[in-house]
Amino acid sequence: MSNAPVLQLSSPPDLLRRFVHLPNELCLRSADWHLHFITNEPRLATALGNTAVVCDGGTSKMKCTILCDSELPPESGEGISTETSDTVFLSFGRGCLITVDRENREIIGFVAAELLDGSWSAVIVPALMAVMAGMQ
Amino acid sequence: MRRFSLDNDALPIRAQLVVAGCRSVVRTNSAKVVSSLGKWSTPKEPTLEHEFEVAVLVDRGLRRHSALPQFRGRGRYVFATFHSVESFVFDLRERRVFAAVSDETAQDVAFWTTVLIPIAMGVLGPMLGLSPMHSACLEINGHGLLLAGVSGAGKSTLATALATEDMALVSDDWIYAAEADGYVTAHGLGVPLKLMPDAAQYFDELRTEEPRLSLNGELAFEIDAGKLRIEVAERCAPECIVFLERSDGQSRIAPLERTVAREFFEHSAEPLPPEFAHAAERRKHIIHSVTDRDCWHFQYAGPPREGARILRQFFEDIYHVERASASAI
Repeated sequence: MSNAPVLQLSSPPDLLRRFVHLPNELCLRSADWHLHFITNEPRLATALGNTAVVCDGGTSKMKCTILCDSELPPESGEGISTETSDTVFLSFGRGCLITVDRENREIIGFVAAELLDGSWSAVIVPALMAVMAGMQ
Repeated sequence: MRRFSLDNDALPIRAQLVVAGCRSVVRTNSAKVVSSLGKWSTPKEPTLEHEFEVAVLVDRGLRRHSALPQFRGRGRYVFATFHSVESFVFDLRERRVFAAVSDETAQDVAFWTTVLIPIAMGVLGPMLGLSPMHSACLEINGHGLLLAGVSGAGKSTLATALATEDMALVSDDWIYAAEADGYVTAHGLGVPLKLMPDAAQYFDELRTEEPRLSLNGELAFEIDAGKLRIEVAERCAPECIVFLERSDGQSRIAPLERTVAREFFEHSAEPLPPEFAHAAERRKHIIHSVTDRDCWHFQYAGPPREGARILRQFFEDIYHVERASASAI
Protein backbone atom coordinates (compact mmCIF):
# COMPACT_ATOMS: atom_id res chain seq x y z
CA MET A 1 0.00 0.00 0.00
CA SER A 2 1.37 3.41 -1.01
CA ASN A 3 2.28 5.96 1.65
CA ALA A 4 2.16 8.81 -0.89
CA PRO A 5 0.21 11.78 0.46
CA VAL A 6 -3.31 12.24 -0.80
CA LEU A 7 -5.37 15.41 -0.66
CA GLN A 8 -8.90 15.94 0.43
CA LEU A 9 -10.88 17.05 -2.63
CA SER A 10 -13.86 19.35 -2.56
CA SER A 11 -15.89 20.18 -5.62
CA PRO A 12 -17.20 23.74 -5.83
CA PRO A 13 -20.94 23.86 -5.28
CA ASP A 14 -22.97 25.28 -8.15
CA LEU A 15 -23.31 28.60 -6.35
CA LEU A 16 -24.34 30.39 -9.50
CA ARG A 17 -26.97 27.71 -10.23
CA ARG A 18 -25.57 27.54 -13.74
CA PHE A 19 -26.25 23.87 -14.14
CA VAL A 20 -29.75 23.51 -12.72
CA HIS A 21 -31.64 20.94 -14.77
CA LEU A 22 -34.43 22.48 -16.86
CA PRO A 23 -36.69 19.64 -17.90
CA ASN A 24 -39.70 21.61 -19.12
CA GLU A 25 -39.66 22.88 -22.69
CA LEU A 26 -42.44 24.48 -24.66
CA CYS A 27 -42.67 26.14 -28.00
CA LEU A 28 -45.18 29.00 -27.74
CA ARG A 29 -46.65 31.38 -30.24
CA SER A 30 -48.27 34.67 -29.38
CA ALA A 31 -49.38 37.31 -31.83
CA ASP A 32 -45.85 38.30 -32.74
CA TRP A 33 -43.54 35.70 -31.36
CA HIS A 34 -42.46 32.13 -31.55
CA LEU A 35 -40.90 31.44 -28.21
CA HIS A 36 -38.83 28.45 -27.19
CA PHE A 37 -39.50 28.41 -23.47
CA ILE A 38 -37.36 26.39 -21.05
CA THR A 39 -37.86 26.18 -17.30
CA ASN A 40 -37.41 24.04 -14.23
CA GLU A 41 -40.89 24.97 -12.98
CA PRO A 42 -43.70 22.90 -14.48
CA ARG A 43 -46.36 25.30 -13.14
CA LEU A 44 -44.85 28.09 -15.20
CA ALA A 45 -44.79 26.03 -18.34
CA THR A 46 -48.39 24.98 -17.75
CA ALA A 47 -49.52 28.57 -17.10
CA LEU A 48 -47.86 29.79 -20.27
CA GLY A 49 -49.22 26.88 -22.21
CA ASN A 50 -52.71 27.98 -21.16
CA THR A 51 -52.26 31.56 -22.29
CA ALA A 52 -50.48 31.07 -25.60
CA VAL A 53 -50.77 28.71 -28.47
CA VAL A 54 -48.45 25.76 -28.25
CA CYS A 55 -46.61 25.44 -31.54
CA ASP A 56 -46.37 22.17 -33.34
CA GLY A 57 -42.66 22.52 -34.01
CA GLY A 58 -41.02 24.97 -36.34
CA THR A 59 -38.23 27.39 -35.72
CA SER A 60 -38.36 29.48 -32.56
CA LYS A 61 -37.60 33.10 -33.02
CA MET A 62 -36.69 33.62 -29.42
CA LYS A 63 -35.33 31.43 -26.65
CA CYS A 64 -36.43 32.10 -23.09
CA THR A 65 -34.88 30.31 -20.12
CA ILE A 66 -36.46 31.03 -16.74
CA LEU A 67 -35.20 29.40 -13.58
CA CYS A 68 -37.55 29.28 -10.65
CA ASP A 69 -35.14 29.84 -7.77
CA SER A 70 -36.25 28.88 -4.29
CA GLU A 71 -33.14 30.45 -2.75
CA LEU A 72 -33.70 33.94 -4.10
CA PRO A 73 -35.40 36.27 -1.60
CA PRO A 74 -39.07 36.90 -2.40
CA GLU A 75 -38.51 40.62 -2.88
CA SER A 76 -39.99 42.34 -5.89
CA GLY A 77 -38.76 45.91 -5.69
CA GLU A 78 -38.87 48.69 -8.22
CA GLY A 79 -38.12 47.60 -11.77
CA ILE A 80 -34.74 48.71 -13.05
CA SER A 81 -33.70 48.35 -16.66
CA THR A 82 -30.02 48.69 -17.53
CA GLU A 83 -29.37 48.76 -21.25
CA THR A 84 -26.29 48.38 -23.42
CA SER A 85 -26.32 48.36 -27.21
CA ASP A 86 -27.16 44.65 -27.34
CA THR A 87 -28.34 43.65 -23.88
CA VAL A 88 -31.11 44.69 -21.50
CA PHE A 89 -30.88 43.68 -17.87
CA LEU A 90 -34.08 43.82 -15.86
CA SER A 91 -34.22 43.51 -12.11
CA PHE A 92 -37.18 43.71 -9.78
CA GLY A 93 -35.70 43.83 -6.32
CA ARG A 94 -33.46 40.93 -5.41
CA GLY A 95 -36.02 38.33 -6.37
CA CYS A 96 -36.00 38.69 -10.12
CA LEU A 97 -32.99 39.04 -12.42
CA ILE A 98 -33.51 38.80 -16.17
CA THR A 99 -31.29 39.56 -19.11
CA VAL A 100 -32.46 40.00 -22.67
CA ASP A 101 -29.83 39.41 -25.32
CA ARG A 102 -31.27 41.43 -28.17
CA GLU A 103 -28.64 40.37 -30.66
CA ASN A 104 -29.16 36.65 -30.16
CA ARG A 105 -32.83 36.94 -29.18
CA GLU A 106 -32.42 35.12 -25.95
CA ILE A 107 -33.87 35.73 -22.48
CA ILE A 108 -32.29 34.26 -19.36
CA GLY A 109 -33.83 34.86 -15.97
CA PHE A 110 -33.87 33.84 -12.33
CA VAL A 111 -37.11 34.40 -10.47
CA ALA A 112 -37.83 33.73 -6.80
CA ALA A 113 -40.33 30.94 -6.48
CA GLU A 114 -42.65 33.13 -4.40
CA LEU A 115 -42.89 35.73 -7.19
CA LEU A 116 -44.14 33.36 -9.83
CA ASP A 117 -47.75 33.52 -8.70
CA GLY A 118 -48.26 37.27 -8.45
CA SER A 119 -45.51 39.49 -9.78
CA TRP A 120 -44.65 37.21 -12.66
CA SER A 121 -47.77 37.80 -14.67
CA ALA A 122 -48.63 41.25 -13.29
CA VAL A 123 -45.26 42.97 -13.56
CA ILE A 124 -42.46 40.85 -14.97
CA VAL A 125 -44.06 39.45 -18.12
CA PRO A 126 -45.41 42.87 -19.23
CA ALA A 127 -41.93 44.37 -18.79
CA LEU A 128 -40.42 41.54 -20.80
CA MET A 129 -43.03 41.96 -23.52
CA ALA A 130 -42.19 45.66 -23.71
CA VAL A 131 -38.52 44.84 -24.24
CA MET A 132 -39.38 42.22 -26.84
CA ALA A 133 -41.69 44.64 -28.65
CA GLY A 134 -38.76 47.05 -28.95
CA MET A 135 -36.76 44.34 -30.69
CA GLN A 136 -39.05 43.92 -33.67
CA MET B 1 -39.63 51.13 -14.36
CA ARG B 2 -36.38 53.06 -14.03
CA ARG B 3 -34.26 52.94 -17.20
CA PHE B 4 -30.52 53.40 -17.47
CA SER B 5 -28.66 53.55 -20.75
CA LEU B 6 -25.00 52.59 -20.81
CA ASP B 7 -24.21 53.78 -24.31
CA ASN B 8 -21.14 55.88 -25.04
CA ASP B 9 -22.94 59.21 -24.70
CA ALA B 10 -24.21 58.31 -21.23
CA LEU B 11 -20.75 57.26 -20.02
CA PRO B 12 -18.32 59.90 -21.29
CA ILE B 13 -15.53 59.42 -18.74
CA ARG B 14 -12.83 56.91 -19.67
CA ALA B 15 -10.03 55.35 -17.65
CA GLN B 16 -7.61 52.53 -18.17
CA LEU B 17 -6.75 49.90 -15.62
CA VAL B 18 -4.32 47.03 -15.43
CA VAL B 19 -5.56 44.28 -13.14
CA ALA B 20 -3.58 41.04 -12.71
CA GLY B 21 -1.74 41.88 -15.91
CA CYS B 22 -4.97 42.41 -17.89
CA ARG B 23 -5.82 45.73 -19.47
CA SER B 24 -9.27 47.13 -18.95
CA VAL B 25 -11.15 50.21 -20.01
CA VAL B 26 -13.64 51.80 -17.65
CA ARG B 27 -16.56 53.84 -19.02
CA THR B 28 -18.58 55.82 -16.54
CA ASN B 29 -20.41 59.07 -15.90
CA SER B 30 -18.74 59.63 -12.54
CA ALA B 31 -15.16 60.51 -11.70
CA LYS B 32 -15.82 58.91 -8.31
CA VAL B 33 -15.79 55.45 -9.91
CA VAL B 34 -12.46 56.18 -11.59
CA SER B 35 -11.08 57.47 -8.32
CA SER B 36 -12.27 54.39 -6.44
CA LEU B 37 -10.51 52.17 -8.98
CA GLY B 38 -7.38 54.33 -8.83
CA LYS B 39 -5.31 51.53 -7.37
CA TRP B 40 -5.20 49.89 -10.80
CA SER B 41 -5.26 52.94 -13.04
CA THR B 42 -2.60 53.47 -15.68
CA PRO B 43 -1.79 56.54 -17.76
CA LYS B 44 -4.24 56.91 -20.59
CA GLU B 45 -3.01 55.50 -23.86
CA PRO B 46 -5.80 55.72 -26.39
CA THR B 47 -4.31 53.11 -28.70
CA LEU B 48 -3.94 50.48 -26.02
CA GLU B 49 -6.20 47.51 -26.69
CA HIS B 50 -8.21 46.43 -23.70
CA GLU B 51 -8.97 42.91 -22.63
CA PHE B 52 -12.13 43.63 -20.70
CA GLU B 53 -14.52 46.51 -20.21
CA VAL B 54 -16.23 47.90 -17.13
CA ALA B 55 -19.25 50.16 -17.80
CA VAL B 56 -20.77 51.82 -14.75
CA LEU B 57 -23.54 54.35 -14.63
CA VAL B 58 -23.92 56.23 -11.36
CA ASP B 59 -27.43 57.40 -10.55
CA ARG B 60 -28.02 59.71 -7.61
CA GLY B 61 -31.57 58.45 -7.29
CA LEU B 62 -30.48 54.94 -6.34
CA ARG B 63 -30.36 54.33 -2.61
CA ARG B 64 -28.46 51.33 -1.45
CA HIS B 65 -29.45 49.20 1.54
CA SER B 66 -27.64 46.63 3.59
CA ALA B 67 -28.24 43.18 2.08
CA LEU B 68 -26.18 40.09 1.46
CA PRO B 69 -24.94 39.86 -2.11
CA GLN B 70 -26.20 37.10 -4.34
CA PHE B 71 -24.78 35.53 -7.47
CA ARG B 72 -26.41 33.67 -10.33
CA GLY B 73 -25.23 32.63 -13.77
CA ARG B 74 -26.34 30.92 -16.93
CA GLY B 75 -24.71 30.72 -20.33
CA ARG B 76 -22.63 33.79 -21.08
CA TYR B 77 -24.01 35.84 -18.17
CA VAL B 78 -23.29 36.04 -14.47
CA PHE B 79 -25.40 38.35 -12.30
CA ALA B 80 -24.33 39.78 -8.96
CA THR B 81 -26.60 41.91 -6.81
CA PHE B 82 -25.29 44.15 -4.05
CA HIS B 83 -26.93 46.52 -1.58
CA SER B 84 -30.39 45.34 -2.66
CA VAL B 85 -30.70 47.67 -5.67
CA GLU B 86 -27.40 47.36 -7.50
CA SER B 87 -26.89 44.60 -10.05
CA PHE B 88 -23.73 43.85 -11.98
CA VAL B 89 -23.90 41.81 -15.17
CA PHE B 90 -20.77 39.97 -16.25
CA ASP B 91 -20.84 39.05 -19.92
CA LEU B 92 -18.30 36.28 -20.40
CA ARG B 93 -18.47 36.23 -24.17
CA GLU B 94 -17.96 39.97 -24.60
CA ARG B 95 -15.61 40.16 -21.59
CA ARG B 96 -17.35 43.08 -19.99
CA VAL B 97 -19.09 44.11 -16.78
CA PHE B 98 -21.92 46.59 -16.66
CA ALA B 99 -23.96 48.07 -13.85
CA ALA B 100 -25.93 50.99 -12.50
CA VAL B 101 -24.90 51.95 -8.96
CA SER B 102 -25.65 54.51 -6.30
CA ASP B 103 -23.48 57.53 -5.60
CA GLU B 104 -22.56 55.98 -2.26
CA THR B 105 -21.20 52.87 -3.96
CA ALA B 106 -19.38 54.92 -6.59
CA GLN B 107 -17.16 56.36 -3.88
CA ASP B 108 -16.92 53.22 -1.77
CA VAL B 109 -13.27 52.34 -2.45
CA ALA B 110 -13.44 49.18 -0.35
CA PHE B 111 -16.32 47.86 -2.44
CA TRP B 112 -14.43 48.24 -5.72
CA THR B 113 -11.07 47.03 -4.48
CA THR B 114 -12.05 44.18 -2.19
CA VAL B 115 -15.35 43.02 -3.66
CA LEU B 116 -16.08 43.97 -7.25
CA ILE B 117 -12.65 43.64 -8.88
CA PRO B 118 -11.83 40.30 -7.21
CA ILE B 119 -15.23 38.96 -8.26
CA ALA B 120 -14.75 40.29 -11.79
CA MET B 121 -11.38 38.57 -12.10
CA GLY B 122 -12.81 35.36 -10.68
CA VAL B 123 -15.69 35.39 -13.16
CA LEU B 124 -13.96 36.79 -16.24
CA GLY B 125 -10.45 35.49 -15.48
CA PRO B 126 -10.73 32.29 -17.54
CA MET B 127 -11.91 34.39 -20.51
CA LEU B 128 -8.80 36.55 -20.14
CA GLY B 129 -6.28 33.72 -20.05
CA LEU B 130 -6.07 33.74 -16.27
CA SER B 131 -6.62 30.79 -14.02
CA PRO B 132 -8.05 31.79 -10.65
CA MET B 133 -6.58 29.35 -8.14
CA HIS B 134 -7.55 28.99 -4.51
CA SER B 135 -4.16 29.47 -2.97
CA ALA B 136 -2.22 31.86 -0.80
CA CYS B 137 1.06 33.10 -2.22
CA LEU B 138 4.25 34.58 -0.79
CA GLU B 139 7.49 35.59 -2.37
CA ILE B 140 11.09 36.48 -1.77
CA ASN B 141 12.91 38.39 -4.49
CA GLY B 142 10.32 37.31 -7.06
CA HIS B 143 10.48 33.62 -6.11
CA GLY B 144 7.04 32.47 -5.14
CA LEU B 145 5.63 29.89 -2.79
CA LEU B 146 1.99 28.87 -3.20
CA LEU B 147 0.08 27.64 -0.17
CA ALA B 148 -2.94 25.54 -1.03
CA GLY B 149 -5.35 23.40 0.91
CA VAL B 150 -9.00 22.93 1.64
CA SER B 151 -10.93 25.63 3.49
CA GLY B 152 -9.93 25.57 7.13
CA ALA B 153 -6.43 24.19 6.46
CA GLY B 154 -4.97 27.44 7.73
CA LYS B 155 -3.71 29.07 4.53
CA SER B 156 -4.38 32.65 5.59
CA THR B 157 -3.04 32.25 9.10
CA LEU B 158 0.15 30.54 7.92
CA ALA B 159 0.53 33.05 5.08
CA THR B 160 0.26 35.88 7.61
CA ALA B 161 2.84 34.22 9.83
CA LEU B 162 5.17 33.70 6.82
CA ALA B 163 4.73 37.31 5.85
CA THR B 164 6.00 38.29 9.28
CA GLU B 165 8.99 35.98 8.59
CA ASP B 166 10.41 38.36 6.02
CA MET B 167 8.40 37.13 3.01
CA ALA B 168 6.21 39.44 0.95
CA LEU B 169 2.53 38.59 0.64
CA VAL B 170 1.05 38.27 -2.85
CA SER B 171 -2.29 36.89 -1.65
CA ASP B 172 -3.71 35.06 1.35
CA ASP B 173 -6.60 33.44 -0.53
CA TRP B 174 -6.72 33.56 -4.35
CA ILE B 175 -4.11 33.99 -7.03
CA TYR B 176 -4.69 34.60 -10.73
CA ALA B 177 -2.16 32.55 -12.67
CA ALA B 178 -1.09 33.46 -16.18
CA GLU B 179 1.31 31.87 -18.59
CA ALA B 180 3.22 33.55 -21.40
CA ASP B 181 6.14 32.15 -23.35
CA GLY B 182 6.44 29.27 -20.93
CA TYR B 183 6.68 31.51 -17.86
CA VAL B 184 4.07 31.31 -15.16
CA THR B 185 3.14 34.37 -13.13
CA ALA B 186 0.96 34.38 -10.02
CA HIS B 187 -0.87 37.70 -9.60
CA GLY B 188 -2.49 38.96 -6.42
CA LEU B 189 -4.99 41.78 -6.05
CA GLY B 190 -3.78 43.25 -2.79
CA VAL B 191 -7.04 42.67 -0.99
CA PRO B 192 -7.14 42.68 2.83
CA LEU B 193 -6.21 39.53 4.68
CA LYS B 194 -9.11 37.48 5.91
CA LEU B 195 -8.39 35.77 9.21
CA MET B 196 -10.66 33.69 11.39
CA PRO B 197 -11.43 35.06 14.89
CA ASP B 198 -9.05 32.57 16.56
CA ALA B 199 -6.13 34.22 14.74
CA ALA B 200 -6.25 36.97 17.38
CA GLN B 201 -4.38 34.67 19.75
CA TYR B 202 -1.40 34.58 17.36
CA PHE B 203 -1.21 38.16 16.08
CA ASP B 204 -1.26 40.96 18.65
CA GLU B 205 -2.34 43.52 16.05
CA LEU B 206 -5.73 41.80 15.78
CA ARG B 207 -6.60 42.35 19.42
CA THR B 208 -7.75 45.87 18.74
CA GLU B 209 -9.76 44.82 15.68
CA GLU B 210 -13.29 43.49 15.53
CA PRO B 211 -14.22 40.52 13.33
CA ARG B 212 -17.17 41.21 11.05
CA LEU B 213 -19.39 39.35 8.63
CA SER B 214 -17.56 38.78 5.38
CA LEU B 215 -19.00 38.35 1.90
CA ASN B 216 -19.71 34.65 2.38
CA GLY B 217 -21.36 35.20 5.76
CA GLU B 218 -18.37 34.05 7.84
CA LEU B 219 -17.26 36.04 10.86
CA ALA B 220 -13.66 37.08 10.18
CA PHE B 221 -11.07 39.81 10.54
CA GLU B 222 -10.51 41.65 7.28
CA ILE B 223 -7.39 43.64 7.76
CA ASP B 224 -5.00 45.52 5.50
CA ALA B 225 -1.53 44.01 5.29
CA GLY B 226 -0.09 47.37 6.28
CA LYS B 227 -1.70 47.17 9.70
CA LEU B 228 0.21 43.96 10.29
CA ARG B 229 3.38 45.61 8.91
CA ILE B 230 3.39 43.06 6.10
CA GLU B 231 5.07 43.80 2.80
CA VAL B 232 2.87 43.22 -0.24
CA ALA B 233 4.00 42.12 -3.71
CA GLU B 234 1.80 42.26 -6.81
CA ARG B 235 3.11 39.10 -8.47
CA CYS B 236 5.77 36.44 -8.49
CA ALA B 237 7.03 33.41 -10.35
CA PRO B 238 5.95 30.35 -8.35
CA GLU B 239 8.77 27.95 -7.48
CA CYS B 240 6.68 25.41 -5.63
CA ILE B 241 3.27 24.59 -4.21
CA VAL B 242 2.82 23.52 -0.63
CA PHE B 243 -0.42 21.79 0.32
CA LEU B 244 -1.30 22.35 3.94
CA GLU B 245 -2.87 19.93 6.31
CA ARG B 246 -3.28 20.32 10.04
CA SER B 247 -1.67 17.58 12.06
CA ASP B 248 -1.94 16.49 15.66
CA GLY B 249 1.50 14.93 15.51
CA GLN B 250 4.79 16.34 14.30
CA SER B 251 5.22 18.80 11.47
CA ARG B 252 6.70 17.26 8.35
CA ILE B 253 7.13 18.08 4.69
CA ALA B 254 7.01 15.37 2.02
CA PRO B 255 6.95 15.40 -1.79
CA LEU B 256 3.52 15.29 -3.38
CA GLU B 257 2.72 13.79 -6.78
CA ARG B 258 2.00 16.47 -9.38
CA THR B 259 -1.01 14.51 -10.57
CA VAL B 260 -2.50 14.80 -7.09
CA ALA B 261 -1.90 18.56 -7.08
CA ARG B 262 -3.45 18.91 -10.54
CA GLU B 263 -6.47 16.94 -9.52
CA PHE B 264 -6.90 19.20 -6.47
CA PHE B 265 -6.93 22.42 -8.51
CA GLU B 266 -8.94 21.02 -11.42
CA HIS B 267 -11.48 19.62 -9.04
CA SER B 268 -11.89 22.94 -7.24
CA ALA B 269 -12.21 25.04 -10.42
CA GLU B 270 -15.74 26.19 -11.05
CA PRO B 271 -17.24 24.43 -14.08
CA LEU B 272 -17.84 26.67 -17.10
CA PRO B 273 -20.73 26.41 -19.56
CA PRO B 274 -20.00 24.23 -22.62
CA GLU B 275 -19.74 27.23 -24.96
CA PHE B 276 -16.61 28.28 -23.08
CA ALA B 277 -14.81 24.96 -23.43
CA HIS B 278 -11.81 26.76 -24.94
CA ALA B 279 -11.46 28.90 -21.81
CA ALA B 280 -11.82 25.84 -19.58
CA GLU B 281 -9.11 24.10 -21.61
CA ARG B 282 -6.81 27.11 -21.33
CA ARG B 283 -7.42 27.22 -17.58
CA LYS B 284 -6.55 23.54 -17.33
CA HIS B 285 -3.35 24.14 -19.28
CA ILE B 286 -2.34 26.90 -16.85
CA ILE B 287 -3.09 24.64 -13.88
CA HIS B 288 -0.81 22.02 -15.42
CA SER B 289 1.92 24.60 -15.94
CA VAL B 290 1.63 25.80 -12.33
CA THR B 291 1.68 22.25 -11.00
CA ASP B 292 4.78 21.48 -13.07
CA ARG B 293 6.54 23.16 -10.15
CA ASP B 294 7.64 21.10 -7.18
CA CYS B 295 4.69 20.05 -5.07
CA TRP B 296 4.95 19.41 -1.34
CA HIS B 297 2.66 18.18 1.37
CA PHE B 298 3.09 20.03 4.66
CA GLN B 299 1.48 18.50 7.69
CA TYR B 300 1.92 21.02 10.40
CA ALA B 301 1.29 21.07 14.08
CA GLY B 302 1.63 23.77 16.66
CA PRO B 303 1.17 27.51 16.35
CA PRO B 304 1.32 29.18 12.93
CA ARG B 305 4.55 31.01 13.68
CA GLU B 306 6.26 27.67 14.28
CA GLY B 307 4.86 26.28 11.01
CA ALA B 308 5.99 29.45 9.25
CA ARG B 309 9.50 29.13 10.66
CA ILE B 310 9.77 25.53 9.40
CA LEU B 311 8.39 26.37 5.98
CA ARG B 312 10.47 29.51 5.61
CA GLN B 313 13.65 27.57 6.36
CA PHE B 314 12.62 24.77 3.99
CA PHE B 315 11.98 27.23 1.17
CA GLU B 316 15.32 28.90 1.72
CA ASP B 317 17.23 25.62 1.88
CA ILE B 318 15.64 24.01 -1.18
CA TYR B 319 15.40 27.03 -3.45
CA HIS B 320 18.35 29.05 -2.17
CA VAL B 321 16.33 32.23 -1.92
CA GLU B 322 16.64 34.78 0.79
CA ARG B 323 15.69 38.35 1.28
CA ALA B 324 18.36 40.79 0.19
CA SER B 325 19.68 42.47 3.31
CA ALA B 326 19.23 46.17 3.79
CA SER B 327 22.97 46.75 3.48
CA ALA B 328 23.07 44.91 0.14
CA ILE B 329 20.36 47.20 -1.21
